[in-house]
Amino acid sequence: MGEIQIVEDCLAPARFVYLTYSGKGPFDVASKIAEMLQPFFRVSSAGISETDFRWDNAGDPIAFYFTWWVERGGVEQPSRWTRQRFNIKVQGTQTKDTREGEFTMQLNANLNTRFSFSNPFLKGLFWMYDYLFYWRRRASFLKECEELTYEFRDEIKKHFNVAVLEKGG
Amino acid sequence: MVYARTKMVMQDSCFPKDPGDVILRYVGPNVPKIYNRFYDMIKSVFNIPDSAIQEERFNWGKGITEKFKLAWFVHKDIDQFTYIYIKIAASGEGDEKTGNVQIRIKPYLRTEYPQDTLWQRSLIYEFIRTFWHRMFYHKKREEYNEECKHLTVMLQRQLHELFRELRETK
Repeated sequence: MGEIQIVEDCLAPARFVYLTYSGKGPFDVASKIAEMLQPFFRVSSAGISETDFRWDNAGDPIAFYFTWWVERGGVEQPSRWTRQRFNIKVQGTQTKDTREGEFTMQLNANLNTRFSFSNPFLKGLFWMYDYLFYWRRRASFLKECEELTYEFRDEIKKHFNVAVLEKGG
Repeated sequence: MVYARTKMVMQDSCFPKDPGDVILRYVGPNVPKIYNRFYDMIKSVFNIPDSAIQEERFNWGKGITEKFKLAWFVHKDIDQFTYIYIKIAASGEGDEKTGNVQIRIKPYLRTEYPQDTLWQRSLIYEFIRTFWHRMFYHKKREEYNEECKHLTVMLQRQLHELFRELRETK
């Protein structure tokens, strides 16, 4: 039993995209992200995970750091063989009295295509299918994945009311 | 843009080596408004959708004055193999009364040839591709380079116009 795996960066040529905000209430980003992940990416609760949450209350300003991942794929979407994976990382500080501070959010997304085969014939068939048809679907998933990442960041921008772009077209 | 896992990339700066970049500085009022206006300007000058503009970095500080730093990648497909690729960096700070901003534009022309399959990597394919490139495509790329320069200068002029408008806005 073998496997073909193709991993592509959704944000190429950039590897990550960043959002840095400084001002009032930077920690609100945590609750905002937590509440919007499921409806925004249209995934079940199994498709998201908060892998790290650190909140250092000892000093002033309070330091925080958290990471999430979101995975779309499997039987539902985008397709049986392809999954979209989004990694979100946030790091920041917030003062105790004025709630002023800053945070940096790092987003990264990739597309993971896996195809398991039991004999070389199936392997060849997959490459042929990919060369003729499936690459087009992968290209569209890649575009969708990139757009979702930027839309997600725009939602966070809207929440903090910073330079929101009127998109369309 | 060529969709392939392996590809050969040819990149040329649209402008000769000196000056390779276009740098514009503005000192005056209404600096935070530049962000939205500039974004729309890029879309209209290059005639591209939102998805052709990648905002890699977005730093925004809110305080007495607003402070920002941005990095954009813009790509405009010209044909199957070639696209214009522009790196834009902007940074500034200010409010409605005063401020300053610096914008750096780096335009490139990129041609990509896919090299995924055995055929595309073979010597015969390479002979044919090189021949075709020398005979026909080289001239085409020179035309595209001109277009790239033209679009960048147009963007530069539109920016001057925007700066003038912002100065006059009360």
